[in-house]
Amino acid sequence: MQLVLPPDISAGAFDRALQEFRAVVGDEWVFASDQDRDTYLDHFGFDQSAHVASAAVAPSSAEEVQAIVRLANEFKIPLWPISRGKNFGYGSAAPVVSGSIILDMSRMKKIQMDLENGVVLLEPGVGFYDLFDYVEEHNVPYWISPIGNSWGSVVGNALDRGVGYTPYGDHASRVCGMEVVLPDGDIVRTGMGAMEGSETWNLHPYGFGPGWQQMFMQSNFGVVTKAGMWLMPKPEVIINLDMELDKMDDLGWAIDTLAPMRRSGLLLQSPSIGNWLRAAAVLTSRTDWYNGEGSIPEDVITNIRQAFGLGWWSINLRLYGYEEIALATADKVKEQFAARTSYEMKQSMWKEGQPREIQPFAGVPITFPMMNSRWHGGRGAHVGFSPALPQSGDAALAQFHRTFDRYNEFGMDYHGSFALAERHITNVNQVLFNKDDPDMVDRVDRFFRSMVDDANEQRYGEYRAHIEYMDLISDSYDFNNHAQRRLNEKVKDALDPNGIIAPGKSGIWPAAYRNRRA
Amino acid sequence: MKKMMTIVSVLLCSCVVQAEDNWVSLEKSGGEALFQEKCGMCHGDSMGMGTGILGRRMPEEQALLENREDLQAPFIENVVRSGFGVMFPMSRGEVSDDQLQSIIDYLAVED
Repeated sequence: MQLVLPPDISAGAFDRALQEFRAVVGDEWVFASDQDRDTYLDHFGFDQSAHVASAAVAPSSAEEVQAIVRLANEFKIPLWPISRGKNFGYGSAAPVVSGSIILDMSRMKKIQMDLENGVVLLEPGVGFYDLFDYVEEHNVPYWISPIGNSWGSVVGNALDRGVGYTPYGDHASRVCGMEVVLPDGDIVRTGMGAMEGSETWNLHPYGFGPGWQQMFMQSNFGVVTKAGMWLMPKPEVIINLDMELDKMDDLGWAIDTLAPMRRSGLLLQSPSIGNWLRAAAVLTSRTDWYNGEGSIPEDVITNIRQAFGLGWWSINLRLYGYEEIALATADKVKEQFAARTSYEMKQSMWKEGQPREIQPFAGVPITFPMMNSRWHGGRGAHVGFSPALPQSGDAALAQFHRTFDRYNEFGMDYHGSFALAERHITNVNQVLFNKDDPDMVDRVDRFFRSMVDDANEQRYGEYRAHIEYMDLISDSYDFNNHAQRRLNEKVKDALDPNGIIAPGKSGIWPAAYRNRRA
Repeated sequence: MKKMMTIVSVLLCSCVVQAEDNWVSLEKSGGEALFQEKCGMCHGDSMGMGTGILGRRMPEEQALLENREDLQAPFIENVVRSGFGVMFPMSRGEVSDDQLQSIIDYLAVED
């Protein structure tokens, strides 16, 4: 990709800035060739040329991050911080504003382990596989909480409020204590970390006075250089409870059966109800089943389901902990389902000492689910659309039918799931497409916007957004004439008057860039 | 052979480096350990995307890159830096030039 200079920066000033960055990190850690820029594109993006970095700088420490941030202020060049740049479906490593310099923290891969308390203090470059390997090699009595496609950073995923499959799957809630480089180059530690040398930085979540931790999630108010994360104590057993639901509309009663069990704490992980394509797209390609235009018709769906023994929906519940308690819990869960349905619930159990399944719910990272990107052929991709709904079967069913109709209207194959948190449902749509098919790319963009409009009408907000749609999603958070956005931008302007940290992230635009809002 | 080398070199190389103040760097060294760190998540034998996709179009044992006897150094370098099909290119922040050379030395057939 050819050079796109940072906004309002001359080629001379850009070159001088790179020289200054090299003096901080060393010549070999500033990347500015055409090929380097290509490596930081959004490889799942509709239009990669819309979000292009001008260069990248890769620090090895928080001190180097501070120096880089100070230089960025001096030159008024925007930085786009990434942990490992694997936010696939949400923009990967690419910046909102073209010409931004990627602040690539992949090299920052250090860890401290508090064995007694099951806490790790991590730098942003530590990936799920790195942490898994460390935990396994040292045989510590804790498991990690991997995500479905585990290339990414543990800290980066938590900061974007990513989720996993174990009882520790709400990753943002498992962060305890951060170190953050502020936009002026100052460095702060949140919670008990504000006390020099405190042993409870990563144990007590709040400290004294206001808590700033959430402020640095999905934001552009600072660069997180360390974060404490709690790990799940290794369970004695996992009990698997799996059920196939034959009909589309089984979704409603299934949600209403599960929701009380989440609220009561009977189910500690976030169960997900996903449709037939979730498995089929990983294991096969669309052309194995169907070559026609438009969404896959119901008779072909039936063939696929029969081939894999799938329902229209599948429920996968996992119970963790001591064997006696997990078995008693399983009985109670089955009792609740038996009152609603005659569908079979299959039960199996993993016990400590047996080989673990290579699955995120067993604390093991994987990447093979992304094989679904080849569903349509070509260079596949996906974009995520995930609104939060109230925890009601009627609401979930209505949302499903609205969305399913849109998939059919735009000729796409339904790929959705409903994950039950403690008090809400996240309706995850992983929209698969072939980015080498211009017609499909155009359809997906219009399809995505229609789903946002539909959700907006119901007042359902998306919990996370692709860089292309951050303004669109931000616009839907409109109470009192977008009071939250006005607050965010007051804070942004106060902390970052030059607007050098990730302008446009989450629809938060600093004053110098505010006219770029879509 | 490479499998045997894997076991031996993992035992011999200091894959994690104890640093000051109880910090441990998870950055590895040596071609084999670097292959596992940087490539193994896709191209290992543990439910990796790359192995899965390659396994659809070639014999299962050939889908594992460590079993291959036909990988040329320029091909590996090009695939890593430019991507290939659904494989994304890898930046020099993620895999430095020196690290990539070590991986190539481990994986590529000799001229």
